[in-house]
Amino acid sequence: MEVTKRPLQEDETDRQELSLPQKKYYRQRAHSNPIADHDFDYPSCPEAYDWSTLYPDVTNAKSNIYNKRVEMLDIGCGYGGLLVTLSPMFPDSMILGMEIRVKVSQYVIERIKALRANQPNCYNNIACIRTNAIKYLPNFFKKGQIKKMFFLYPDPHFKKSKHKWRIINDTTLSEYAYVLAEEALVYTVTDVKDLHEWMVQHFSEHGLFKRVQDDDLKDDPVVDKLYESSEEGKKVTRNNGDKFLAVFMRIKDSDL
Amino acid sequence: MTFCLAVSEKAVVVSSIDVDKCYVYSLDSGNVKNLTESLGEAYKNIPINNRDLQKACASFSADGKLFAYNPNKGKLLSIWNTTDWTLVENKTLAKHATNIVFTPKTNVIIVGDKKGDVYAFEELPVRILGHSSMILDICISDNEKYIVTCDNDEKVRVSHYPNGKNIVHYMMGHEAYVSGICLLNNFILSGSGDSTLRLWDFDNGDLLDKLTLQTAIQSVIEIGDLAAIQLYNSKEVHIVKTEKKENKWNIKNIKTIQLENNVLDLAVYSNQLWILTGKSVHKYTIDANNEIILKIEDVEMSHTFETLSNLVKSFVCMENTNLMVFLYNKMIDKQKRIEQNVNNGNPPVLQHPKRLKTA
Ligand SMILES: C[S@@+](CC[C@H](N)C(=O)[O-])C[C@H]1O[C@@H](n2cnc3c(N)ncnc32)[C@H](O)[C@@H]1O
Repeated sequence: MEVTKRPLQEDETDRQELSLPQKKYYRQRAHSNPIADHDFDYPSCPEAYDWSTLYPDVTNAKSNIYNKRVEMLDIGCGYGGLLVTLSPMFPDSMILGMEIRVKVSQYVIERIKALRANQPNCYNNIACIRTNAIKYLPNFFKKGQIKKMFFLYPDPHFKKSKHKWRIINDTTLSEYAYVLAEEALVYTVTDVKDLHEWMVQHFSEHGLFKRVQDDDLKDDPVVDKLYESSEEGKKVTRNNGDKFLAVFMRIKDSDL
Repeated sequence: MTFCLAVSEKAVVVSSIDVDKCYVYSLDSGNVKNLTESLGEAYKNIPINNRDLQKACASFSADGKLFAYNPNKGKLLSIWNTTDWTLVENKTLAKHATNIVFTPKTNVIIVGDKKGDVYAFEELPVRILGHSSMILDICISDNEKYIVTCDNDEKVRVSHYPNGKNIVHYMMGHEAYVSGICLLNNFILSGSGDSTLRLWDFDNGDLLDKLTLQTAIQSVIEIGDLAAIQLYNSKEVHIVKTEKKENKWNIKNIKTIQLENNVLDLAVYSNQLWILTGKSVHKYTIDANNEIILKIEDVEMSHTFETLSNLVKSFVCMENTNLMVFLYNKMIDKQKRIEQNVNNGNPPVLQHPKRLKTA
């Protein structure tokens, strides 16, 4: 028997959401310091992690994700809207949300649990962990493992003294480049122009990324979903905010 | 380590960042000079820094012509000409240095700092790479194509040099801060607060072997085909080598040197291993078979050891600004928290393969 997945219909989505965890119980202070030391539970190396605790189907020989590894990352996934959207679009890919805030990540974990319970055989390819993406990517992933990476509405950290907290900076970009496969894509969206320019500048100057031109994005089914899948995206729409998109490709080191 | 030892063909340097003294002992003349005294009036007038965590660093260039160290005050990189021991230049660092090395062929000074950044000091400082926690050790491959760094976050990393933004490998597996690394042929040997030494394949980043010592490892230094290992708060230095057995590479502990006092730092020049303890400085050499380490009890050297020993005895160590003590205590606290969590019935999701030693 083949395990199949069927995307939810619009009206179904609404109905499902009723039994889902309510966000108001999972609110938390907007920013936690990503540089401070917290106790996170993380594997000492990728081999030490048991992915079946997050994705029980990786050990199910009949599943689309049998024996696979995570290849898409939503960094700072917030309440998980993008994960839920991507799940039926990429039924064969394991997608992981990484979120640093405890309550927010708990919400996403409960949300996925509820979705799986309501829709057997669906949403088995998405999961969320509470972690600091700035510190622990190499603990979870091997070199070149990731094919798509998402940064939707990352925290802007407006003050100059807090720029070092930005999730895109010289140091983190090298680490992202390490876990990304060549030709893998990084999608960024923000409503803050200054942050958009900062991201474009840092990716462009890094040397291992090149910007993907808008023309080349027309056929990418993901792009349309980036603006409004996530909770932050919906909020920006409600407030009539701007949305700046930039997509980058991981390229080879031209000097080698 | 708030004390530091560095050796060249012609000089031995003992430095203490807490009392802000950096003594050069000339092996030719037997003269002693305190470099910190020659940093000028302006420097003298800055009050001593006894608040920040510091790690004394010092290094000679491969040709022995240059020397660099970090004095106590003002986040300086102090560079000296060793022919006549005159100051070449004081450069200002962005953050406190945690490691200073020279590239082996081109004599470029490489500095790692508390923020996790690594800079190369040519005309202007160039940021080579960054970690997300403080750098604890740096090695440059002989061909200067790679830079190996380790940090307070359990990571060992190989990057291209000079383009350190391109990471070749992360070598993951340590379960506490990685205090030291060295290059042994085509291997990387790393030592950590988790009490293990690990041997990694330079080319593919694979773990080849792991050796558990009795306590946290404080530093690792290569000496020919061997490596010398300093432990945390210990009177022992272990000498290890790599060995191929049944097609598998292993780390083998071939000798333990027992000292009378706690070991504070190690330095290597050619086939000589120098050991700084709380009371003195000792010198060992390795013979051609790479096996035996002999203690040098040379009569001719007695003046050297006596002088160095008197200098060392004037040093003071402040526990509260000692970076390595801080890292060790932090690790122990974290283990206690995890243990408590487990006892409270919140087992970690992950299986921690090994409880770390707490003593
Ligand atoms: C403005 S929210 C956007 C959330 C989501 N992507 C969306 O579009 O709705 C940014 C999120 O990134 C998370 N975050 C910030 N730094 C992080 C880090 N170092 N690791 C993981 N998550 C982080 C924050 O907790 C926050 O939930």
